[in-house]
Amino acid sequence: MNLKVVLVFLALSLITIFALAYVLLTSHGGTSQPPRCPAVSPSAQPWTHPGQSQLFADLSREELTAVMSFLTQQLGPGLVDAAQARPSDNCVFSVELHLPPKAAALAHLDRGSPPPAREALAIVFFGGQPQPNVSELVVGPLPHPTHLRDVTVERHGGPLPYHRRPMLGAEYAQMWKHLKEVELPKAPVFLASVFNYNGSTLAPLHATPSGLRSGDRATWIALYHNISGVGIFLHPVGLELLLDHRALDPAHWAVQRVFYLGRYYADLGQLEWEFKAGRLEVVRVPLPLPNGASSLKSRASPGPLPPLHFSPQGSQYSVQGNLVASSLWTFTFGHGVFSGMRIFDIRFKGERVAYEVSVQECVSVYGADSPKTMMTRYLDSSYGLGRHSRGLVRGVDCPYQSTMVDIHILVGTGAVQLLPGAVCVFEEAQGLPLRRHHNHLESHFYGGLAGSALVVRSVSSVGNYDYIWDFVLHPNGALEGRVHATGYINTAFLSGGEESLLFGNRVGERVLGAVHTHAFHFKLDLDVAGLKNWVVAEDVVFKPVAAPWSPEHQLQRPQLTRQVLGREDLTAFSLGNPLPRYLSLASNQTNAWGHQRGYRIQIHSPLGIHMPLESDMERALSWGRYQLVVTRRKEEESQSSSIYYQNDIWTPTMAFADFINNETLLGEDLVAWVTASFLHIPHAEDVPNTVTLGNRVGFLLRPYNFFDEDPSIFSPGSVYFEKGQDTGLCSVNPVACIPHLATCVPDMPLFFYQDL
Amino acid sequence: MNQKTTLVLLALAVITIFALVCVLLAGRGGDGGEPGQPLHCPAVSPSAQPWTHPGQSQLFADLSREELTAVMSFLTQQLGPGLVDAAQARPSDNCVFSVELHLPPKAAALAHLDRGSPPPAREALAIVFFGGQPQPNVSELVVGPLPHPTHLRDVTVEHHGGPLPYHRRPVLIREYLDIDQLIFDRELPQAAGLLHHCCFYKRQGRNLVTMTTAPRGLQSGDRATWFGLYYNISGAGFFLHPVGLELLVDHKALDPARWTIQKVFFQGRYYDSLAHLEDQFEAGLVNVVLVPDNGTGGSWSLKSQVPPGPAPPLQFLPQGPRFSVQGSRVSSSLWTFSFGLGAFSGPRIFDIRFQGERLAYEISLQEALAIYGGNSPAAMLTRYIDGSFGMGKYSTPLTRGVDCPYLATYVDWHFLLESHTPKTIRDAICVFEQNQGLPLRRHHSDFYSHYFGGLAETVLILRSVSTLLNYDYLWDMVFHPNGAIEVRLHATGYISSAFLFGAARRYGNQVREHTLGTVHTHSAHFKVDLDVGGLENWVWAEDMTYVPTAVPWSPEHQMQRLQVTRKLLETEEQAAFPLGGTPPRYVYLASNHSNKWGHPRGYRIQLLSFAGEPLPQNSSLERAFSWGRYQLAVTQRKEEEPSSTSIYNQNDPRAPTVDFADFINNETIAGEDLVAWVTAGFLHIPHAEDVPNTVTVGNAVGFFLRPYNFFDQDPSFDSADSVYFQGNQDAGACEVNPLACLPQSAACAPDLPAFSHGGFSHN
Repeated sequence: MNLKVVLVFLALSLITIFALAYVLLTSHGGTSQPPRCPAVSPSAQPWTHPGQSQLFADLSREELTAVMSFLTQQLGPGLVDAAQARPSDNCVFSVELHLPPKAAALAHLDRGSPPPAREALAIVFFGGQPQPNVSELVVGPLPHPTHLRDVTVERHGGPLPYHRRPMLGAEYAQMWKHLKEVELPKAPVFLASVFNYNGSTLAPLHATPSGLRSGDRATWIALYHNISGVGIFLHPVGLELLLDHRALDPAHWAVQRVFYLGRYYADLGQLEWEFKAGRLEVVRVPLPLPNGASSLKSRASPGPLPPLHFSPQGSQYSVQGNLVASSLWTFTFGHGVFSGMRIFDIRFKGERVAYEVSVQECVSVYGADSPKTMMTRYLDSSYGLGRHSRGLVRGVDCPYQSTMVDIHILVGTGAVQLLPGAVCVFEEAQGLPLRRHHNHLESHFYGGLAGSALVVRSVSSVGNYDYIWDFVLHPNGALEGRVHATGYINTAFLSGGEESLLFGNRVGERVLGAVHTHAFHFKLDLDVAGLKNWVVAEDVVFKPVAAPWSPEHQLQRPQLTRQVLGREDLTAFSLGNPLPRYLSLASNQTNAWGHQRGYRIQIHSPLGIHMPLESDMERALSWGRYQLVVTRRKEEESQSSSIYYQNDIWTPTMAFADFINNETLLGEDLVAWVTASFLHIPHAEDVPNTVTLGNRVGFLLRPYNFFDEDPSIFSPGSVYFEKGQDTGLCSVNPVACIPHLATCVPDMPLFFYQDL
Repeated sequence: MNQKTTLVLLALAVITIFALVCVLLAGRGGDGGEPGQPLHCPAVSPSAQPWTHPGQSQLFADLSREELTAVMSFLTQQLGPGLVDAAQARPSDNCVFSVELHLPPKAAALAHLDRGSPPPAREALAIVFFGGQPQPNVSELVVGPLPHPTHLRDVTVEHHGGPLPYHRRPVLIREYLDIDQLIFDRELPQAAGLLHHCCFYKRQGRNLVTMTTAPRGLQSGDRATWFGLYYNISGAGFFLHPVGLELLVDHKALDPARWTIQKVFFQGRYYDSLAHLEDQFEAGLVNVVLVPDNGTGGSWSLKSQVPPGPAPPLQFLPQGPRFSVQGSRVSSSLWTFSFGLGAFSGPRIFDIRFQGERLAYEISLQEALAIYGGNSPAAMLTRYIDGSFGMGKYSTPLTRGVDCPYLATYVDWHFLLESHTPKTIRDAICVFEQNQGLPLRRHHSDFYSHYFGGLAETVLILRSVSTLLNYDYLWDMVFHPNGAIEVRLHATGYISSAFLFGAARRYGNQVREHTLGTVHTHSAHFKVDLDVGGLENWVWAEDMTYVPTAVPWSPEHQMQRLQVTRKLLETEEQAAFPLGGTPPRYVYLASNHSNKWGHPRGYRIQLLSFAGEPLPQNSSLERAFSWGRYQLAVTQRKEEEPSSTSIYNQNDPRAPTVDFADFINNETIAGEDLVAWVTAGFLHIPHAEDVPNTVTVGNAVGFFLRPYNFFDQDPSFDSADSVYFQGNQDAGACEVNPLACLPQSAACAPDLPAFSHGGFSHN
C-alpha cells in the first residue's frame, strides 16, 4: 500500500480518537445525572458533648450492667435471675433512671451548680424472706455505684405488700404450665372434640386485676386459638378458668372456677364429666386459617409507591444520645420502663417552656358477659409502656427517613435488653400551611409559611393494643402530645345469648368485640417564664347591651370573663363540667402589650368517661375523674399512678385525688394533669386491627401572650411576594428554589429491622 | 517511516477507536449504576386533565367559561337593553349579579347515575338585581339547557316563597366604591383638622381605607353599615391598624347622592356627624390619641425577617401520582367523587364512592359565621355571615409548596360574578395524596407468634382557601384508605382589630400599641347527605353506661359493669343535638341491610369541635344562623331544603330568607333519605401570637364520617401498601417486605415543575 495513504488514514484515526475521547469525557459530565441529596442520619448520634446535660437520659447499657453487678454483690447469693424466678425467690425486677429532684436539676441547668448524682431506681422482689415484700432501692452514683438506699417507705408510706408486685414473665409461664399440666388434662375428650386441641393450639389471655379484693391473686384466664402468625385475640374459644396463684409455691395453685357458654363449673373435671354424659351444650370453634380474616398479611400485591417524605437538604434536627435539637427547639427525651414516653427541659429558642411533659398512665376498662373480659381493667404502666416498646418499622411507623434511637432496658430478666429503634425522631411535612394570607384588598400580596413540626414517637405494644405516643413541637412555640390507638381489639366468645350484644358488636362468627374505654393521663410541668406561675381561666359570655348609637335596640355582645384560679380544688375540672375555653398557666411577667405571659392548655378529647365513684376500684384511677387539674408541684407527688395498683386496685397507696387538697396556686411551681379518654365500641372495621383514624386524643400547649408576636415570622421558610414581582425567581420567592434544591435523589437508608 | 510500522500503528488506532466507541455506547445506555434505572421520578402533571370521557358524568361540574358566556349572552338578550354590567351598576340599575351551576334534582341525578336514564338538563342559576323597576327586587332565574340555552324561568317564588326584597341583596363592589367616594370625597374633608392631627391625613384621606362590617343596621329593611377606617400600609394587611374612626353609612337609597353618614364614632365617643366631631375638636373637647402610621418594620408585615433557609421537608412521588383529576372528577384506586365550588356556599363534593359503592350523595360547606365583641360599634355589632360575600367568590389562588404540597395537582375555577365576562381563579383547588407519616394501623407481636403487620397511612385531600377580608379559611376534604371521610376547617390570615381604648381588655387582648384583637367565635356549617347502603337510612345513638351488678361467680361482691346502650332516633327533634349539650358518643346513619355479622351497615359521625355557647336565641338576629344552635341535626332530605342558609340573610338577618330551625319539624327520620347537618367552630381570643397572622396549629375543627359495621372487616387490608413480615423472615429482603425495596425503587430525583402562581388579578 502506498505509504502516504496509510499515513493519511493514520492521521484521520488519530483525529477520530481525539474526538471520541473528548466526547466521552464531556458526556460524562453532561449526562444529566441528578446528584444524591445529603444523607440523613438514620440513627441517633451517641452523646458526645460533656457540656450538654444528660440529666434525664435513660441509663445506658453500661450503667444498667454496673447497677446489676452492684446489686448482685450487695443483695447476696439468694438472688435469682427474674427470668427464672419463682414467687419464693428474690430477684431484681427492674432497673431504670431515678429522676433527679427538680431543684437540684435546675440549679445545675440554670445556675451552673454541679449536677446532682446520677442514680438508678431498682425494684426488687424479696420472695425469699419470711415476710415477702417488694422493695425500691436507689443505687448510685453512676457510672460506678457505691451506695444503695431503700426508699420504699419514703415513696410509698410503708412496705409494699408482696401481692402487689407486677407479674413476672416467669409467673405467666408458670401459670400456663399449671393449666397445661394440671388442669387441661382433666378434660381431654372435651378439649379435643370441641376445640381440636392437640396440646399446642390454645393460648391464654389474662384479665386484671386478679381478684375481687385486696390480697387476692386469682386471675380469670380465657383460652384462644393459637396459630402461628395470626393474632390470637380474635379467636376466643369460650372456655375461661379462674386460677388462684397467690401461694408462693406453684404446687399450691388451683383452678377455682371454670366458665363455659354462660355457666360456671367447679373445675374442668366437672365439665368433662358433663360433656361425656352428653349433657353439655357445646359450640365447636374451628382453628383459624393462617391467611384468614384475622391475619395481617397483605391481601393485595404491592402497587405503585405512595408519596414519601424527604428532606432535600438533610435533616434539620440532630439527635445526640437523648438530646434532640433543631433550630428552634431543644429537649431531652426519656423512655420510662413503666410510664413510657417523657420529655424534659423543653426550650423554644433557648427559653425553657416546660420542665417535664410525660405520659403517666394508660387505662382501659372492659364490659362483657363472660368473666375474664367483664373483669378487665388494664393499668398498662404495670405491664410497662416503655418495656413494651418495640422496634419501629421505618416507612410504616415513622417516615422512612426518620432517625431511629435504640433504647436499653433492664426489666423482668437479669440481662440488659436492647430495644432497637424503639424511638423515632423526624420532621413532619404536613402538607398544610402554618399560616397564609392572600391579600386582594388595597394591597396585593401573599405571605405564608409551609407547616412542619418536629416529632418524637414511640409505640407501646401492650398485648393486643398498640399505642402510638407522639410529642410534636411546632414552629410557633406550640407543644403537642397525642396518642393514637391501633392493634388488635380484645374479644370475648359470643355465646349467642340475647344479652351478649349489650356489650359490643359481633365481629366474627362467634366473636364479640368487647366494649371498652381508653383513658390516658399526662403530666405537664410547665414553667412559663419561670417557676412561679398562676392559673388563669378565660371564657366568653353574651351580655345584652343597648346599642350605644341607638339605645332603643339591643345587642347580645360577647364579653370576656377572666379569673385567676387560686387553689387546687378550683382547678379540678371533673368530667362533664365545662372547662373554661381558654385556660392557661401564666407568669406575672408581661409581654410588650401588658398581658401576662402564658401558655394555654387545649385538650383534644371527646366527652370523657370514668368509672362510677361507688366502685371500690375507682380510687386507684382517681385521676380519671378530672379532665384537668392543676396542683402545686411536689417531689413526692411525681406520679399520678403506680405500677402496684394493677394487682391491688382496691388499696391505692397514694391516690391522685389526694394531691388535690386546697393548696394555693398563686405564684407557685405548678403542674397541670390532663386526662383524655374515649369510648370504643368495636365493630367490623376493627378486624383484624383498629385503625388510628379518629382514635386519637391528646393536648396542645399554645403560647398565649407569651411572645410579643408570632415567632414563626422569623422562620427562614417564610414566603412573601407582591403583585408585579416575578414569583418564579428564587431570589424573590424561596419556594421557587425548590426545583433546584430538591432535584436530587433522596437518601433512603437501607431497611433494617431486628426486633422480632 | 517504515510502512510496516505505520500499518501497525494504524491497526492500533482502529482498535482504539472501536474500544472508545464501545465505552461511549455503554456509557449512554446505562449510567454507571443499575442499567435501565430512571434517575428522574415520573413527571407529575401539574394541572388537571380536561374532562374527556363522555361516559363519565359531569353533572356536578361547575360551569365552564364557555357555558358562563353562553348564559350571559342569553340573559343579555332576554332581559333587554336596560341591563348594566354589574361592575358598574348603580342601585337603580338592572344587572346580573351571578351565574353558576344550578344543581340538578337528586332523583333525576340518581336515575342517570345509577339506572342509566338520560342526564337531567344542565342548567344555570342567575341572580339578577332589578333596581330599575318601579318595585325593585332580586330575582333568581334558571337558564338552560346548557351549552345552548333556550329558556329561562323565574324561580324566586319557588325557592323563597315570595319576591326577594331589594334591600336584602349583597353589596356590590361598585356600591363599596361609591361609599368610599362618599366617605373620602365628601365627608372626611369635613374633619380635616382632626384627621391631620391624629392620622396623617393626606391625599384626601386615601392613606386610609375602609373595612365593611355586617349586618347593616338594627332592624329589617335597614341598609346602614358601620365602616372602620384603617391605615393603608403597603405590603401589609391594614387590618391591624385601626385609627379609631368608625362611620355609620346609610346606603339604602337607590341614588348614591342621597347616602348619608348617620353617626360617627371616634376613639371612644359618638358624634352626630364629622362636622360635629371637627367642631368639638376645635373646641378642644376631643381627647385625641395620635396613631402612628409607620407600619414599616416590626411585624405588621408578612415579609420575611431573616434570609431564606434550607428547603423544608417535602413529599415526592417516586412512581408518579396515584390518582387522577379529570374535569371535576377525582379518582384513585379506592375513591371517586366529583367536586365543585359553589360561588357563595363554597367547596362541595358529590357522588362519593369507596371501592365503587356510593357512601354519600353530597357533602358541602353551607355557611361560615364569625361573631365579634368589642367596645367600638363596628366590633360589637359584627356578625359576618360569609356566604353572602361568597366562599367560592373569594377563593384565592393556592401557593404551590406552601398552601398545598409542591407536587399537588392544581385546578382552576371559572366564575361569572359581578361582571359581564367570566373570569378564572387559577389554582383555586388542589388535590394531592399525603403520606401522613403515621400508620393507619399496626401491630407488633412478640408473644406466641412473632410478626409485624401495618400500613402507612396516605390520604387523598381536596383543598381550597377562601380569603374573606382578613381571614383565610382552609377547607379540606380528606379521604382515608379505610373508607372514612374527614372534613376540616383551619383558620389563618389576619385577625380583625379595633382601636384600643377604655375597657378594651374586656373584649380581647392588646396586640399592638393602639390595637385590640377583638374576641370572636368562628362557626362553619356542613351538609352531609349520606346514603348509607342506599337512600333509606335510620339514625342510631349508642353510648355506654355502668350498671352495678353482682359478680356472677362471687355474688357477695359487686362490680360496675360496662355496657352499651342503643337507641333508634325516630324524629327530627330527637336527632337535633344542641351546642353545649352532650350528644351520644356514637351517632350513626345506617341502612336496614346488615353486614355479615348481622349489624345494620352504618356510617358514624364524629365531631371535632370546640364550640361553646351559641348566640342566645333571644337575639333578634339569631334566626339568620339558627343552624348554629345545633352541633348535629338530622333531617329528611328535601329538594326545597337544599341549603341551611341564604345569601340574603346577611343584609336582613331579622327577617331571614332561610331559617334552618324550620327544617326541624318533627318529621320521621326512620327509613327516609336523610341529611346530617354538622356545625364545627371555636372561640378565638386574639393574642400577641396572632400578629401578624393566626397560625393553623390548634385552629382546626371539623368532623369524621367513619364506617361502623358498614363492611365485614377493615377494608384497608385490600391496600397494596400493606406490610407484613414474620420473625423468621428477612425483613430486609425486598420480596418479603416492600419497604426494603425503597432504597432502589424510590431512588429517583423528584421531577419538580417550575414554580408558578395564580396571580393577584383574575381574568
